[in-house]
Amino acid sequence: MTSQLSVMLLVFVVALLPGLASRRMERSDMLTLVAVPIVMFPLAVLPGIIIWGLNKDSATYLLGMAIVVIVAVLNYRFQPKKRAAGQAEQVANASTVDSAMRES
Amino acid sequence: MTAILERNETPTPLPRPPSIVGDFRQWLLERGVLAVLIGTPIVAIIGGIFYRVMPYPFLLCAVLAAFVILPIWTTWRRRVSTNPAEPAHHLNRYALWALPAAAMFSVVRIPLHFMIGIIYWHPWYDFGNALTNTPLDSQSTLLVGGLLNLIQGWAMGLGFYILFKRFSLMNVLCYIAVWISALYSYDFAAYSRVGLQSPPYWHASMAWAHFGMAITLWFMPNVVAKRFWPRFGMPGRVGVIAVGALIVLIPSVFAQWRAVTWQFPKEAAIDNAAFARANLALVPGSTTLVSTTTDTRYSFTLRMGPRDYHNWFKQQRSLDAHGIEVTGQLSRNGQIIAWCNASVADLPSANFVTLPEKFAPVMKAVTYTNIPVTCQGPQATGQATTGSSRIDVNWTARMTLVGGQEVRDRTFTGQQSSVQLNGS
Repeated sequence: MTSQLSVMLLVFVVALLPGLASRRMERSDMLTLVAVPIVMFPLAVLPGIIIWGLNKDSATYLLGMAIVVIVAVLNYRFQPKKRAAGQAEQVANASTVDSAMRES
Repeated sequence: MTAILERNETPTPLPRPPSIVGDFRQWLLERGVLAVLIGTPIVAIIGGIFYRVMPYPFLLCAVLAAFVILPIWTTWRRRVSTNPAEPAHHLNRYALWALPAAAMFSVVRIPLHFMIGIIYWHPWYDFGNALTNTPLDSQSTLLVGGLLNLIQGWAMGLGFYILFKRFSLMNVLCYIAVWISALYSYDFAAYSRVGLQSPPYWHASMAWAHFGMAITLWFMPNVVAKRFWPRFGMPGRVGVIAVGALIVLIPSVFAQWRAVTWQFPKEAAIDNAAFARANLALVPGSTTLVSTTTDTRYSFTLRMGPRDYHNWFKQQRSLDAHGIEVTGQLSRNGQIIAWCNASVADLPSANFVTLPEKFAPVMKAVTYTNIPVTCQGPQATGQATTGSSRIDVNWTARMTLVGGQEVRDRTFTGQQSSVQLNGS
């Protein structure tokens, strides 16, 4: 169990590193990242843990869930220029793409 | 009373307090319902093939219903929505962007196929078989399974665009590369990988595949749509569409090519080796005199095995056998004393086990399988049998051996001399 968790911890951390280059996160995005893994846990994973006990694979889910929740909360809390830049970028997001598509 | 009067006299509306219920309702209308409708292909696969709460084709009815409701819901939301960022307004392009991302989930594993033997298309046979009931390991099953796999990945990617307001790398990596990977690591290992080991490198390869998908989900709106598309002229845009189409086609085309040129020959070789390896032998001490009443009855047991083998994607399987017909004779001093036969429709198989946790004990139980054989002879021969009787046993067994792909009729013959007869 330990070797798999160590490998997956390393893999998840490395996978998140490129995210530092583009960290914008709305409040609803953060809430989605916190809520979805937690809500899915009793639906998708807990029944298996009750039947077969905690194993390396269910522990991997818990690890991933914990990483996502922690990273989402921390990233939202400490993201740069949270409000103003966020709203401006969001409007640009929709309008640029809209106009780009309309041009075609 | 004063307060009421004062309130009546000053009707200035107060700012709306933040309401969790109101916000949730808004989220549900703008994103939640769409995410559920789009997510039905994933629910169908997980519910029908992993958790087996219902047959997969039944759950596809929910998918069909969702895709009938989807345009109605989207049209209504576009009419009543005042939020320009609501996904209903952008669903067409989200759907387009999610396609190459879904394919990239498999494309990035092609190098891993050659480097560490990862075979991304073997679950496709299960998906295709669950829908069409066509034989496993056939190209048509692979084609349908590949399409279903693409639809699942597409639904997953589209779900990201619907659920998230901002398509940043951090959002997509958290959601797809970490959370979906973790869920995938659990669900596939616990419910789908029957007879397969799931070592850490397999989990890491799944995370790599989701990472590729996540990067593409970010790349499409932020680079292709924002930067490439507005700058390109007609030839450039045709090129972008061609590259996108190529990415979508590559996983299925590569899988079909490898199936024909590598998988099927390898599978045939593995099956033939398993056919040749299986043996049928007399179980020592099993030859017994059962009764000597109206006629003499004997029994002995043949043991077939080993029946375990690893197929083309390293999944442990049991070699199946159908239509087993055994004939034989017992003889003493060159004289036949009884004629034997047995008929077994199918040997017990581990291949029908659907949960990985239950597979190992069943596989262990069927690796060597006993086939009881009964014999019958004249009463006089039985009465002449003494406690120290030794007899000769010979048998012929005909059966159809069934591997992963190959089927072969095989005849086993055997003879054992001077066997101690129990119960005499």
